[in-house]
Amino acid sequence: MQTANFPLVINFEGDYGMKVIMVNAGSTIKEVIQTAADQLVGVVVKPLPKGTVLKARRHGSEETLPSDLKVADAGFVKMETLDIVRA
Amino acid sequence: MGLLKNSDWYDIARQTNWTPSYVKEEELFPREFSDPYDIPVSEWEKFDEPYKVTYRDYVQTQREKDVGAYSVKAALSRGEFYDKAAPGWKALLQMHFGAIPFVEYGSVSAFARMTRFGKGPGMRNMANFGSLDEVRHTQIQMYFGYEFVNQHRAFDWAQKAPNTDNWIVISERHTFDDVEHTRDAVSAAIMTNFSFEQGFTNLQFIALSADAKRYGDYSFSAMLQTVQSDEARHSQIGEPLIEIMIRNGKKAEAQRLIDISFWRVWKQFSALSGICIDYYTPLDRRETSFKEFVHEFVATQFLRNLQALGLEKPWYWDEHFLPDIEIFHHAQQIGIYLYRPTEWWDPIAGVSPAERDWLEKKYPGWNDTYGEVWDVIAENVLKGRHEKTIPQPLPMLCNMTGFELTGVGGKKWNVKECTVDLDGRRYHFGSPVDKWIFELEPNRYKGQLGFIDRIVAGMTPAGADGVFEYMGMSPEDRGVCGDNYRWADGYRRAAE
Repeated sequence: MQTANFPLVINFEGDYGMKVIMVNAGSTIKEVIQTAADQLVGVVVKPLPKGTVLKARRHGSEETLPSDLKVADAGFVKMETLDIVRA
Repeated sequence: MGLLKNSDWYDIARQTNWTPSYVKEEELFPREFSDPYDIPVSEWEKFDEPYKVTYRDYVQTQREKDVGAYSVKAALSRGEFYDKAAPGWKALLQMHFGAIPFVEYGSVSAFARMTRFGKGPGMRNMANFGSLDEVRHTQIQMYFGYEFVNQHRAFDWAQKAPNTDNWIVISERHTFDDVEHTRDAVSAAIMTNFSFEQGFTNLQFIALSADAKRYGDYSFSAMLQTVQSDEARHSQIGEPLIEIMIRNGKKAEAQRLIDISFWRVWKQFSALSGICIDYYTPLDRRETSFKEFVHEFVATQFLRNLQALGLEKPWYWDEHFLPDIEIFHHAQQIGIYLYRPTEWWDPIAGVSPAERDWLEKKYPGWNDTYGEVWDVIAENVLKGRHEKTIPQPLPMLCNMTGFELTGVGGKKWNVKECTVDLDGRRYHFGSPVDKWIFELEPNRYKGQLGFIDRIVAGMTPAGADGVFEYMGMSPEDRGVCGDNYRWADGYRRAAE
């Protein structure tokens, strides 16, 4: 198993502030979203309605990142900020 | 023989400028320490301090002030008061005595540099008293704080804080090193005496003093008042300096110093004083909200003083500062509570149903925004999931303020940041103003590693306790919920 050693800044819809999570460079965006949701929903973000689909995009961008895109291939800098929002 | 009146000799006695003969003037007053604005000495000699104080009068007045404040303390049984105090008030005292004394002690040397490198004799005289004032402020606050050291470990931080790399201490150091300690005597004085002291110390020392008195903490109130009485005098160093700069064609430079320092100090006071006033002060003794204090002391009085001098309100006033009064400290309060093990004090939530009503009344929309985040936290408390009231991910911190990158949570979610990429590193800022300050002088700010940067860079020891070890926090030093989650009882009753 790879060590989660790539830091991303997560701006999760509904949260009061940004968080840092460590992910694997080989993780997909879908996995990043899941990791963030696991750590924030029910902690600082109220539980999401069943069936809610989450998308990620670079902070401030309107363009959604593909779910199967790998962190290593996304061209992220360390501490890149991703907005995670409801689709 | 009758004594001369002070006014008969004061102006001559404090004219201590002379023409140096052993060294050149630029060696006596190096430009980068004294005056990078190249204003002639003859102009600095016109510095006319509004408060003219002689050493004899100063000592007599200060002695009387000390007698007053220490007498109040001696007359009251503080240990008993502390035992009976509300958890919020305890949190307030714990935070104050850890966060403030070392900033006061730092100010001793800031004033000493003004005394040494200021070119105006009147300025040097005032600044010299300023150093003595700050020695007194350090001593009295450490003395009053140490009374409780047997009752709670947090009061040890009155001495310990500056020797740690606790994230809040790093944030304070970054701000006050910038404003007070790393600039020439003129710039540091305008930033410290005008922006910091004239602009904001009223909040901590008058607003909080009023709350303390209402709460019955007469010792703390007297201590704050006696400190502020000095601040009110030595903060007057700033105005004559600004007048001299404007007269000598340096208005834009003076304005910029104000714009930088006002924002930097605002963020500190918003986070620390803001949560003390709106969350830690017991509800039944709370009259004025932080927002109302800021509008009175800063947005009205300070702005009036600024404009009377011929300067403008900072460029970000309407677009960023005024909205920030409604936002920043509410978001910071959530983070301060959630990440409580990283703080030396025991923070409280301050969001019982009755307190929420007050917050909604003072800050319309609070329930739909910050309140929604607190709903999630309350639900976890009610279900006994206390471990979920401390987030697993680290908070992201601003590379200028050192505080969390926050905004509006809940239904009206609006959290934004600004970034700068420089020399292979991305810097994150909580507002366009923080970014603006960084970009004014990147060489001044770049390279500094914020607390989160240090963790990501692997500077903290490995293991679950590594971050705490780095901050000098043994398990006993770490904050816990100040009222042991009783704040959520009202939700339980409402649900039944």
